[in-house]
Amino acid sequence: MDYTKLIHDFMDGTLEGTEEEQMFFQFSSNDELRAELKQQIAIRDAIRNDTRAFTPTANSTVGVFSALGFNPPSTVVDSILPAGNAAKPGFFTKYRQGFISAAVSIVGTAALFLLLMNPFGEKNTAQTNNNKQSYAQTQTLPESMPNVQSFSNDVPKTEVRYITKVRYIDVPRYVDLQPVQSISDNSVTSIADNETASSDLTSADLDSHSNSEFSMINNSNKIPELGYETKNDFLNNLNFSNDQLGLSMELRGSMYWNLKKETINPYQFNKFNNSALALYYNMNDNFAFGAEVRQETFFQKYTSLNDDSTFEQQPNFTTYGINLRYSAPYDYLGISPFGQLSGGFNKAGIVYRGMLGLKYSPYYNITFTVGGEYSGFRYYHNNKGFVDSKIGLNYGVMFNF
Amino acid sequence: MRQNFSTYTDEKLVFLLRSDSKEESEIAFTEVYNRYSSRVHAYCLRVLNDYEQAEDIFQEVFIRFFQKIKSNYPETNVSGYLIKIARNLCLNYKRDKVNTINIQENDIYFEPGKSFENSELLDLITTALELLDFDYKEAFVMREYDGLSYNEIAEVTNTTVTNAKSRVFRAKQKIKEILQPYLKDMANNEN
Repeated sequence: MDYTKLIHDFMDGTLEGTEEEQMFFQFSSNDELRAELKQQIAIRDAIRNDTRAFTPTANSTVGVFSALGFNPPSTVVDSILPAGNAAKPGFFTKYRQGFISAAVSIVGTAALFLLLMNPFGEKNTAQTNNNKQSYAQTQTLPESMPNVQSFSNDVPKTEVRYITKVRYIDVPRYVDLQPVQSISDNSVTSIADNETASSDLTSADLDSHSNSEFSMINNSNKIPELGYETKNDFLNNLNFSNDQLGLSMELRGSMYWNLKKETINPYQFNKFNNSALALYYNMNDNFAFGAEVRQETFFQKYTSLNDDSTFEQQPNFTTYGINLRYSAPYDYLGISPFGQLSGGFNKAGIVYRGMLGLKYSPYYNITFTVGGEYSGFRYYHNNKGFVDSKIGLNYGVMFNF
Repeated sequence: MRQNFSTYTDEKLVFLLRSDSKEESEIAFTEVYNRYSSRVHAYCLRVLNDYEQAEDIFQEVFIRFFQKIKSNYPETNVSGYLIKIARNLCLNYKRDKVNTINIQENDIYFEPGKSFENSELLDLITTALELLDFDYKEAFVMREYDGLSYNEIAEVTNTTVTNAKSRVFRAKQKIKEILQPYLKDMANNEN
């Protein structure tokens, strides 16, 4: 007798009443029939427990709803995520957030670069040694500026005298960088003849003169009353003085690849995913010490206490860390190597990293960095330790002040 | 607050899906997705046995379903209609994929509370499914995974109910034959 057919029909609910009675009658004495029933029940149970087949990935759910312009419901996503299902999305889907983060970082860096450096024009740009020029000289004076009498009795053009005065204030700042002669040249073109003598100053003159005209420099304390000093300080700040604090702030973007094969992606990425903000104190030319905060994800794969279950997830983490950076004392075409060691923590465990990279400083206050990084993540589940790791490409811009 | 359509019939959901109100059609679609996504996914995965492709087709099924339901009201029920779309897409994929070899995934995913033995049997069933003819395989998947009636299977596959029954049974028989050594071991271990 074909027991397979019999049990199949029974489980299908299509067995005739009399056949069903006979089947139950035979159960007590027929081992083969009982074994057949057990086997078919085992197959059906295995199929019902095929959660991988019955569980669409979070990415697919999001993909469907996004394509239709709908918001993926949290209930759907919540029911999908704990299943530990295996997501293997397409290349773009998988790395979409990475591309977006990279694009945002690059655009942001470029915008900052253009804003600060204006590399396509020379007006008000960062200064080179050849065209250093006082910002103050380019500024017009406020119309409300009161009319200040000159110390000289025979000077009719008081406004011109203000310009002269501004130039005097700036001369000490550039006295080491710019030949004094150029100051004289500039002043000759713009200053009335009867003031030429006062324009032809040298640094030595500044030190030695004590006549009434030069006393205007020493009397600069009066200028704040005219609302001028504040403006001049702002301009000085823009000038990025060499008297720096020894601090650097770095904005960094990253692209990561988990070393374990990813089988699930985060349902939602943090908007700052794969970006970091770090503040460094430059101890000397080679060593810098700093702290950073970074938004990232880690693919985690860990097992239960009895090793009978494997859990997979890729949560978003905010990681806080400290960095020690060593910059090599040599460079080629302005590019120099550096290495960095970091240690930190997030809500799940500790993170340690090592990075090797290159940096390029087109201006002394701006540094661009790029580097390859290894990140290890140590965490515990049921008092059992696990380590996951990833490698990444970091790219950033550093502001030195 | 979002409305709950979980008590609505499929017919009512289809009516709401065709609504001009985006909110209504979104909630109705979510309900349809909740009800049938697992079955559609199971069909795509077990018929194709290619995870990436199954994911792509799974997404495409629901997108096409929504687009089509806006223009024509389906004659069949929702689950049957979804499986029919999935079937057409899977057949198109298999047709375009002639002469290429499908490499079976060997990854095993364990769920909490699920024994290794169960996963092992499931892997064997999956492997056995791959050895079946497409007609038998899809009939088995529709019946055992998607819970379709023989009438629905017959409708989706354009065959008779008797044929549908026969295909499901033959598929099960074939799977049992392939799994016989394992099933015997299992029975011996229990004894």
